[in-house]
Amino acid sequence: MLEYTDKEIIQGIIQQDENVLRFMYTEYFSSVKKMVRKYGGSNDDAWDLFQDSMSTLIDILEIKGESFHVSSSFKTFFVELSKRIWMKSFRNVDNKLVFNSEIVDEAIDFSEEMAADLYFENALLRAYFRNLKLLKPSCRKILRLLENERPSEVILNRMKLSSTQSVYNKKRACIKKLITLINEDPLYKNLIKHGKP
Amino acid sequence: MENLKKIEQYLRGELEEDDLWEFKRTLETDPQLASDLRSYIELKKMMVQTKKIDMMEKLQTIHENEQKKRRFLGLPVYSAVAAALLLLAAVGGGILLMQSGNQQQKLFEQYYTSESGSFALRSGNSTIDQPVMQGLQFYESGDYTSAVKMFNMSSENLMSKLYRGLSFVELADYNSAILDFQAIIDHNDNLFVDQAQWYLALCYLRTNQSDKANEQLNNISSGRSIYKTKAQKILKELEDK
Repeated sequence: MLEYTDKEIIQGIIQQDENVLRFMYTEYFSSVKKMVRKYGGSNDDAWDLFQDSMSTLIDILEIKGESFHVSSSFKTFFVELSKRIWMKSFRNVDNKLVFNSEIVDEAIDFSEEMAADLYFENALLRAYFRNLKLLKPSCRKILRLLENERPSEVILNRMKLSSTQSVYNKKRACIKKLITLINEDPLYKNLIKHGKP
Repeated sequence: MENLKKIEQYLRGELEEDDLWEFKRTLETDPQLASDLRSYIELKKMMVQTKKIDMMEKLQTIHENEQKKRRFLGLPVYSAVAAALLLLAAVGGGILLMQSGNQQQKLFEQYYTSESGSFALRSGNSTIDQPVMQGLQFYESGDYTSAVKMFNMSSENLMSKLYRGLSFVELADYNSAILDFQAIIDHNDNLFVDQAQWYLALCYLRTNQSDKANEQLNNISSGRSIYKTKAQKILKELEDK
């Protein structure tokens, strides 16, 4: 496994470099898992949290840019960020738990409201992503093409559909199915019910 | 979710005055419509977050591969012995499966030839990024690990992706290669799609993912790819066995 400097990790995340993502998974996930288990969560909770933390990191880097730096090691920062999100989430409401948020506060310098917005949006995105995976491959494909704003003609060719009307019908059927799945998703329901952390 | 058409028209501002009034009135009295509208708006917001979704897909693949590895390596001794016994008991069926796997790997060996980077090196010295150029030089000299490091420095560049994928193939890291080739195909609007499709199909063969290999080979066979004839030959060989 290649080693990366903090700067290489930051660039790798911005560029979506698979090797850097694999490095982060290998090096960081076990620490996140350990922390979550310490606070009574499961391995699945840890995996959810790891994804939310990565999404939040993308938000932070988009706002701060490549000049973003942390005074601690990047791993310490990431685990603290995960801990912060964990504490903010509704999965754990034990008020007695405290953690040192200085490492994160110092680095990201976001208001509480802004941070809460990011955590909420990223949890919603995870709900969307996990239901997207439940769709048939053809539906996932058409939605991915739509995400990338491909014109109907491109979708028509790629999906081997007969007309732009059939692209429209297929798209609509897939969106309908996805919304039904999301509306039934316990995570989504929980997020909507409780609002932002 | 019967309201989708109306919701779409509403959000696009296409409802006529009467319909708009009716829609808004219903929105106040019909919690289902209100909930569907909210979900639709959320969904649209999520759908444009392509960067994060791409990252989640990559992480998910890494996570699933790790879980598989762990499941295998984490087998206790008695489970491993039991598994071995079961394997022996199922030896007839097992041999068939192995033959199928071996056949796919043989096809990979038969059809995979190292792609030369020299054409790319000669073709565009002025337009190719410096790290990509250096990566291509390492690739040409057979130093694939150094090539990957250089390509990583310009990982959004599609030529870099293609040759990084090919470097991974040479390093026998097929799962990483698959990610690079798939990314080129997903991008779609580029000159490397034919090559990416072909090498992706070969990687699936090499990793015994027959369904995905078949799907890719069928895509190639039904299009105008330069690899069309080769893909058809492989499909025929797979059918004949």
